Amino acid sequence: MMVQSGPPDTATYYRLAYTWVVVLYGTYAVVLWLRSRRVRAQLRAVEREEARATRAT
Amino acid sequence: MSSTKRPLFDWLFVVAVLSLIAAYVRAVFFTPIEALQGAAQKIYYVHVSAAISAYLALGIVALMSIVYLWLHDERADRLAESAGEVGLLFLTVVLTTGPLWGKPIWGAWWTWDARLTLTLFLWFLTAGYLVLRGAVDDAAMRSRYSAVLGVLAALLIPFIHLSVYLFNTLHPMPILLKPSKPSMPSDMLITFFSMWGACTLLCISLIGARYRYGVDRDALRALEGNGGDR
Repeated sequence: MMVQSGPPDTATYYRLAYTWVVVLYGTYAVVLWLRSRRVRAQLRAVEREEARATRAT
Repeated sequence: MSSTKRPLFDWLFVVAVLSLIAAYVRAVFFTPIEALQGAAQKIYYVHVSAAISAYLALGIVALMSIVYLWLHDERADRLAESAGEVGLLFLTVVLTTGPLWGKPIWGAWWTWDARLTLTLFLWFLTAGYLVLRGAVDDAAMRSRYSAVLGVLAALLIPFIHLSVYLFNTLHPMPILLKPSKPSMPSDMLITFFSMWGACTLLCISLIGARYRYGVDRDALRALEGNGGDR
């Protein structure tokens, strides 16, 4: 008779899931930061341009 | 303070990340392994926490969409858009960690079970909501159409939660969100609540960060004088 000793070995799936979740959350945060950085740089450039145009007039 | 000087990620995001690290450490090192499923049972903590956060985010989409349709306040529309994007992130976590649990426990990555299928529909509806926002040039029309879709998408949430009672499904019954006491040992319950708290904080802080990004993008669009790709 076969007797199972202890829980089944399903650790690979669990490690994969925990790593994948960190990758997803981390990637989203980094992508959002990059998008924000790009928009803020454009916003500063437009504001500088507008300020220069206002001074000129 | 000018919007461009305000940090994208605030103190709440830092608290959320620290909470998530603490919850991970507890789940990995200080939570017992379940006897029948082995370590794969621990996927439950990240899977269910992400599902509740997705419901929270999509609930915010619905609520803010109703507010927008009522008051035509662009802040409500922006908040709905932000919550929609973060909701899609959490739904993606749910739909990818589920199969990673299902393969060792059910022997299959996926089944066309009512709860799984309805959650996949919700993912497509949420993705459609975001695609719609990018497809309509006129800002008022974009906000109105997407608000209607946002409300309709959220109507799926109660059906998803109740699907395990309404249909003969393979998906496990709720362990926590049910009228009776939670059917889980206290060690595991504490781990779950830690992860749930961390995920909720992360969800709220990401929605806040995405909202701040939306404010800057709309300010840029106003300066450039176009309705653009919101």
